[in-house]
Amino acid sequence: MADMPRPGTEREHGRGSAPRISGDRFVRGEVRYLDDEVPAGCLHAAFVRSTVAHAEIAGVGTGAAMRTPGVRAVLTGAEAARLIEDLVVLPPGVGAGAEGAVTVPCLAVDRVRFVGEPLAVVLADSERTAATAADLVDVSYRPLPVLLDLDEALAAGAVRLHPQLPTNTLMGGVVEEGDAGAALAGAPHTAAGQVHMGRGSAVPLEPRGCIARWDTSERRLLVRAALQNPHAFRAGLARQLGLPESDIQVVAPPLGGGFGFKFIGMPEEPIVCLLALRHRCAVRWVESRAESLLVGAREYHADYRVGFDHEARMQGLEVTLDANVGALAATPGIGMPGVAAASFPGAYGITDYRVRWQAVLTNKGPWNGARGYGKEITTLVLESAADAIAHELGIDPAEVRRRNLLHRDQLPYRTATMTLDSGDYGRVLDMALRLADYDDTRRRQQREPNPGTRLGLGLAFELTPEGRDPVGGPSRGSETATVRLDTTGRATVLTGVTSPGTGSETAIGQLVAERLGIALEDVRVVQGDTDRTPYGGGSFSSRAVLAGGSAAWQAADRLRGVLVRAAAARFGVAEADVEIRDGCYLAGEHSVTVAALAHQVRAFGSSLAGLDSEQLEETATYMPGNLQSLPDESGRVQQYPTYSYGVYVAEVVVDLDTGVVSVRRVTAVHDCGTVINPRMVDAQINGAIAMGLGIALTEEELYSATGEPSSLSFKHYMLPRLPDMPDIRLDHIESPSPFTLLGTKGAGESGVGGTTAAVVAAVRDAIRGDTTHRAVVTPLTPPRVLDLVDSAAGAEVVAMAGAVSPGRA
Amino acid sequence: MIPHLVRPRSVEELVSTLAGADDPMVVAGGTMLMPRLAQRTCSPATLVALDRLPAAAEIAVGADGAAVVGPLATYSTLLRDPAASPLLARIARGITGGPQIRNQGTVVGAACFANPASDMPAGLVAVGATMHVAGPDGVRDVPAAEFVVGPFRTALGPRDALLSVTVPQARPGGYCKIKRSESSWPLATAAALRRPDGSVRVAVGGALERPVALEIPAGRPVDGVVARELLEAAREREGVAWWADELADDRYRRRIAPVAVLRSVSSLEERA
Repeated sequence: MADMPRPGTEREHGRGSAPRISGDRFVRGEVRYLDDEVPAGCLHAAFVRSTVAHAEIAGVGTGAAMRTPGVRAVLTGAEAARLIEDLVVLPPGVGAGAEGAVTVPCLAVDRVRFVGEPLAVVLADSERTAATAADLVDVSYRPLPVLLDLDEALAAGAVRLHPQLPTNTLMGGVVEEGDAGAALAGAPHTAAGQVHMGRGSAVPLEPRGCIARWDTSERRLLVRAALQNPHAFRAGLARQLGLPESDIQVVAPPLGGGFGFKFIGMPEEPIVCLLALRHRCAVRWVESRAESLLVGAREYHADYRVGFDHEARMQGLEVTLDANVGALAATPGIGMPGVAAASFPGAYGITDYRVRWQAVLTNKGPWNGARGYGKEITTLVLESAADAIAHELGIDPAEVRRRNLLHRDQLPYRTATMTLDSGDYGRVLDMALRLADYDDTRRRQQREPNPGTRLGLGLAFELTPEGRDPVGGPSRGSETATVRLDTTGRATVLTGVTSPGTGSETAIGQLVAERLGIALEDVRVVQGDTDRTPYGGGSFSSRAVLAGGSAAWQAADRLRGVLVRAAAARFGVAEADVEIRDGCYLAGEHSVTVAALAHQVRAFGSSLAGLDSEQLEETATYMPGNLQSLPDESGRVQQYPTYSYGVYVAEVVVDLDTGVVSVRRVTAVHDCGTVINPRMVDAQINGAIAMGLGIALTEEELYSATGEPSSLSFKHYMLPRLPDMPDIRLDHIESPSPFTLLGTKGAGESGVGGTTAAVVAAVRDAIRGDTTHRAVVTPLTPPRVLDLVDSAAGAEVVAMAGAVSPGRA
Repeated sequence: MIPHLVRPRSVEELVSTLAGADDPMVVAGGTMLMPRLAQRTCSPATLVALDRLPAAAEIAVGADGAAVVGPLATYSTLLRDPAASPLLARIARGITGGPQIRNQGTVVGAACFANPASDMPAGLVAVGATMHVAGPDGVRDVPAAEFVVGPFRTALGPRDALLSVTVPQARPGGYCKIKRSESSWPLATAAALRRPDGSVRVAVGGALERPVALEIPAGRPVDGVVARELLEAAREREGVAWWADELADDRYRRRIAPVAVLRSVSSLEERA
């Protein structure tokens, strides 16, 4: 994996590749994940899940399960519905044609809508007993028509999947500017194509889980849950169970990956909490791999038409984007198609465009979030359109990007849904081409030493809106942090953002350490505990440093002022004469440690002139700029404050005899504004490249014709492994955002869509032929690639790499 | 229910255990069976482990050069002693799943699991292995080509166990495996073994319901068309259908199996 060039001795904001705080605890296995906790005497929950994709529930027989030794309780959907409020999918006014809020029960009551839908739960004294008894719950079904594909769900007369919605379209809308129709009609050339992105999910190695117990002495519900948003979870849980929020503590332990998969809104955690409340005991549930692979996070079909002139300049764009969001879910995952639509037209200066989008319900598993959050399909569509232009005009794909990307002088640049903040798109493109040896690789391509394989080179520009302020969501785009100094000279940061395993606490710690003039080792960052930290969004939309770090920086900056004033009072000098160096506050020959200053403020503050109102604790709330949450005069809203971007170049080799694609190298040049910790940003991009590779080539959740999922293990849902990873070359530029406190932008999602689009483009480049431009399908599995090879050749290829003779003994 | 575990220390004890046990299932390395027990997709009353049998984990090479592969000999065992069977060692090197699987998965277990999308059954056919089966009537020998009878089905009876495998004296082998990505089970494999007379036997796996072997006469040039013809002829002669699963359909496998054949023959020259 590549490391980016280090910014030398840059001290501003404490920047630098500090190793991860407590990184050794993770490496040594000393961190306790949720699955490491088994409270003494706890009971175990196992869910009874639908075995059919769509049916009315005719009966749920619990007798055999109840009679199993060790079983304490069996709760059916009908019983649960009387004890716990439904999950809220959409607030009133958002669902397409729905009256009131769109809701879904935690356990199916009278109808199941996907294989794997929980419809009852068994509580037993061991995990195995619970699971065995769950198998004994006898469910009878009256089958209903199964709708798996968009066409089936959208067909006139299709059975309605949800009684609150008039059709199977959950949400939809139009994102537009100018007059796309007229622009396309007047364009000298047009190109049209389809993009189908297969169903997949984020798949962290650690699945979800929840341990809840009723604390009799405190009379509170104490919950540990492998979730990204503990505060928002508590709020929803309080509503569902009819408890005051303050009677619930939610702790999110260290996560083995989040990626949006651990957003709240799934039914299992609230049910575990209900059981703990009812039975006044500890209840534990840890999701199995098969259960985790029921969840989806992407499946899109897009049709695009792009108009352009003889010089390859895009003049108009029309896109229809349909998302198969599976069964109804109350997760933020269903927001992804709308974000995908709002992310058009990327960084291309198209003034006339129209994107019609909809999220469609089917009988596949529900969606939760996934890193990329819809922007990966936007990138794939836009980059496929750019390649189609190159193909039509016979010019290099890089040149099409160069002629259409916004110039840096045009920034900030306003679209219908975004205000692109800062950057130099053309420069990053040129840097990426150089770093990838693009021209040299193009020359190598012409030589083709091996007739059985073909070298492909693809590139993609990716725009990643980050730092979302989701109006109507469980939390806002702002974050709050408290920084507390103690008399040992150490600081404690209490932040509402969580680390899903990214190490965001390290960057937050760096910001605080620099402001206070102390070492990073002297900062403790507390996350993921509703009792200890301020209310916060947890982790979503790459906001941990952007919003959480900025809030911590502000709080620490105020404390810095306290320490400076204390030092000035102690030394009898002006505040302006106080310097901070090597953990000490200095003025002339005077020097004092942070610990001594903290003691001075705490013990003698009341008796020292000018310090009588100073304290050792500060709390700050930070909201990024460049947001438009109240509609402006033209009705425009903007949910994202920052716009990171990058250029990705992929070099692949396609085996023409088998369709197997090997990715040789991925090159990325990235700009997320001010970088606090380059090592952490590199790690994010490296991981995102792996995810993009999976989307492009290997990962897909498949279903049988009757709706049974068939990719419930890692032998069928194939994540990239280390040997699949290419050589990675990374570089960065830093164009600080003018709209955020420190110039930072989000860095957690960049690379997913860019890698996907670049790898797809490289395969297209290798195979050539018109079909690969008209229809893009991911993942590009070997059978699909071989079909593309055949269609480009116009016949089944029986080429092979020449004859062999086994003649010599 | 958690099965009763029995670990016989002799072949006699194994045979009598199998004869008397209630609903027995035999486990070697357990890489396939143990996850299924945990997932409750199979639930034998008795689990009979082969790990305590004499020399269970060893590969013993006799005076005639033939190697006897014990029931607990893993892919890593093959890799530690590649001279015992260069072809099987070469196959072991490419086993999906990393060191965890190579240290635990066994030749005997892979043969008995008989997953069409796996490496070892066809490898054993290519080398002309003999399978030593213990059953109620004693120990009998079954040629590898007759051991796997269909997808996940073998010549083993319900109270039989595969004791060991004898691989004839080592000869140069070639191998080709085509798979979707590093995580993937094979979509087609071809294991080629050159005979002293210069002819080559190629056993094709991964692509068919069970391994199929074809013969390439010495000196005969083979291209894609010829490879396909030879393979189709052998497949029809043995009445074996193409395999399809979630990873690839039968059309794709039929298409790439001849490619695997060609590449396995080419790789004979690599002497790996």
